[in-house]
Amino acid sequence: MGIYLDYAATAGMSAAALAAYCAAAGVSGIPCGAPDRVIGNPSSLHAPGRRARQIVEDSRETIAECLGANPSEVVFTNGGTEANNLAIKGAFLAAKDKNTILVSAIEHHSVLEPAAWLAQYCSANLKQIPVDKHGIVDLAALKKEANNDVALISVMLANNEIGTIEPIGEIVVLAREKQIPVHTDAIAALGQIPINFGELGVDMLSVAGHKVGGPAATGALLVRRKMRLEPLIHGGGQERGLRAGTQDVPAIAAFAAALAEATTELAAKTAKIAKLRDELVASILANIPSATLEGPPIKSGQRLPGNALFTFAGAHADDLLLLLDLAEIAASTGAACTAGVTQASHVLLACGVSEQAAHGALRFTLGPNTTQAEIAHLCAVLPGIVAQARKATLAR
Amino acid sequence: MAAALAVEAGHEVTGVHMALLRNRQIFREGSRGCCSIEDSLDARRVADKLGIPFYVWDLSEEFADLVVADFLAEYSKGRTPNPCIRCNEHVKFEILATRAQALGFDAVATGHYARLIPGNNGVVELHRSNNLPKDQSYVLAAAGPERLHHCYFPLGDFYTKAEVREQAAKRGLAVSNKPDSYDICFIPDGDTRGFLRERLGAKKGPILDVSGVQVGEHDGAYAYTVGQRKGLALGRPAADGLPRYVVSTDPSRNIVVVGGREHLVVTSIKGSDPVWYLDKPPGPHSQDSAGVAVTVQVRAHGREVSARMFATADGAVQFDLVGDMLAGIAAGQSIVAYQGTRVVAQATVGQSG
Repeated sequence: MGIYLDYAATAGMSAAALAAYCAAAGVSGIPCGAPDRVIGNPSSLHAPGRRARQIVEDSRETIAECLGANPSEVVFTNGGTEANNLAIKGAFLAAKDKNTILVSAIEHHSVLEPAAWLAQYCSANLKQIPVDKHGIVDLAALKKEANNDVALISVMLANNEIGTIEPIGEIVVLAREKQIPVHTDAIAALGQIPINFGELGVDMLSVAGHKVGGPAATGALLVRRKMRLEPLIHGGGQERGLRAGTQDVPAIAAFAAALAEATTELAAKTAKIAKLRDELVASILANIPSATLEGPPIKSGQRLPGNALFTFAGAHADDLLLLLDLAEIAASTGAACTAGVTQASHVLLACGVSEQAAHGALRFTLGPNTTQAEIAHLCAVLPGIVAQARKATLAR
Repeated sequence: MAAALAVEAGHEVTGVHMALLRNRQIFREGSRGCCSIEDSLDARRVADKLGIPFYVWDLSEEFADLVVADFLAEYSKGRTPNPCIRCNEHVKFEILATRAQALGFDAVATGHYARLIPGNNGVVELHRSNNLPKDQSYVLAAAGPERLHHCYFPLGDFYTKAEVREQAAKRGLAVSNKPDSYDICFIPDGDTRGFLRERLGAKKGPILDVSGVQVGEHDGAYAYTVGQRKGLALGRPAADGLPRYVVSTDPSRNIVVVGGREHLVVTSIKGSDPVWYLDKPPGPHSQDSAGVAVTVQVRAHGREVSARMFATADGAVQFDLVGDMLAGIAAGQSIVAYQGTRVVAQATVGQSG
């Protein structure tokens, strides 16, 4: 029996998403090749085109409603990474007279890398704003850097590794004084906490479908109408000219269905997940010596409900993962994994965790299907696995 | 392929790729070595097809300390090390194996061409592969029976390359067309002398003939290997018109000596740090005047010659060649002694004469 505790990596397609996908792809008993049922190109004006556009626009409205946005603010992209790239590069390139980008030190690579690329190829002045030991961005430092040269501030709504929920409302207030656009990467937060684009007051917000049961390579950037943005992909002018290319109709339908399901009764779902997560944290801290929960405390209200990331002093993450894998438990280091060689997480290092401790990081992320029995099983086997990994460290 | 056979034999297998090099450029371009990123992706694809877990272990620090640093130190002492042997001995069958055992694995299986047979008294026997042209017992011998006891070479029983390819193709494994690698993985352009000069620095010195007359100049004695003929850049030909070879180097005085082929001929080789695969190592010369009849090999894929093997009083081993002689043996090389297909001893060449 396999146990999946890596929902933050991807949640897997939900039944609702799969059904919506099949319906829009014409595979649920309706061959899309039948002339009167063809799902056309959403840009075509004829009936098959209109059928396709109907699905895309229904989906756009659903997604907008789930996220407190106006449908015209939803720009579909091929995934979260593309949404972040469009936000960072598009906003910088459009702000011709401003040269500074402010990002938090714990942003995802899909924010940090496009920003670093702009610094290298477009002479952007990139500044990383430090965070405290729980990963909360230093607002005083951000305020100090927020001058008239800033083209964009990008701070994530919640961190994907340690689950820290950032004070975006306060960031928006200080940015408004200087009329600086704010982008927030809400990919990790999606389906974990309520997201209301209008109330948050940010100018751009990224989401990805596969974190809530939609297909991978679906995503959207929510963009205020007044936001000046250069497109990265040029062509037929789809998505208000911000993202050219024929939309993937079934995938978009599935994304919308998944998000609608994930955000229905969100509070009840996340309360259940948080309860299991709290049990897991309590058990690990009680039963495994020198285990540390990194990131914000679980009762602080500053942490995503499904996230728990630990460091186990003296154990290496790759040994822990291998042993968990052999025990059929899927977890993660939470950190970037380039060609399989685990690196110390830039997020943990930014929080002041030592490089040595960061190498023993293990992230469990719970999802709507996580059961009490699964958590109990993990709690039963993990002490032995950590002990064996520590023994393996001594053998190095 | 080795992993496929291990899985089919009913073992619980986990694939591990050793990441040995930090340099991204080598990762991307260096398909020569056994540790490039391309190879790790190929290996992962195979593991996925076999349905086994696959992990990359970062052993680059250990590799830099134990193999690359040793390689430079040995060359700077005028010796000619074999880094692949060193890697097998200290990284693959030591660090990797120890870590695997600590994680609960029983054995390390690799795709080496050699055979392991349970011997008497629990000492494992290392034999040449049935596929003699591919045999790798020479580079494995230094690992010693204690380390090899926990190893498993599923490919060693195959007789031909065609057979291996056929078996791989049958399983849909597409790696069967990869070229064999004989290069040093951390010197991707193959320029060993350039690699050494860059790290040890150029140091001009004389090239002398055997009578002590200067016949040329070199830029670092460490970069020359006994038996080497190419790259000497001697302006004038020898008086007898015959090719000249490096017959000795002395890095402490930064001298390279060249001479005719006759100066390279070796009839006796002394080896240090012997590794025994025999229940009972032979006695010293005086007590056991006949020695043990063996054949010896001093290079990977080199020819075998007959010898008598003796232990020496100082704990080393001596090989007196009988019949065919060997030429151009450098200190630091590995010498492996066989009886038939079985490895009986290994040592590091010290003096020869």
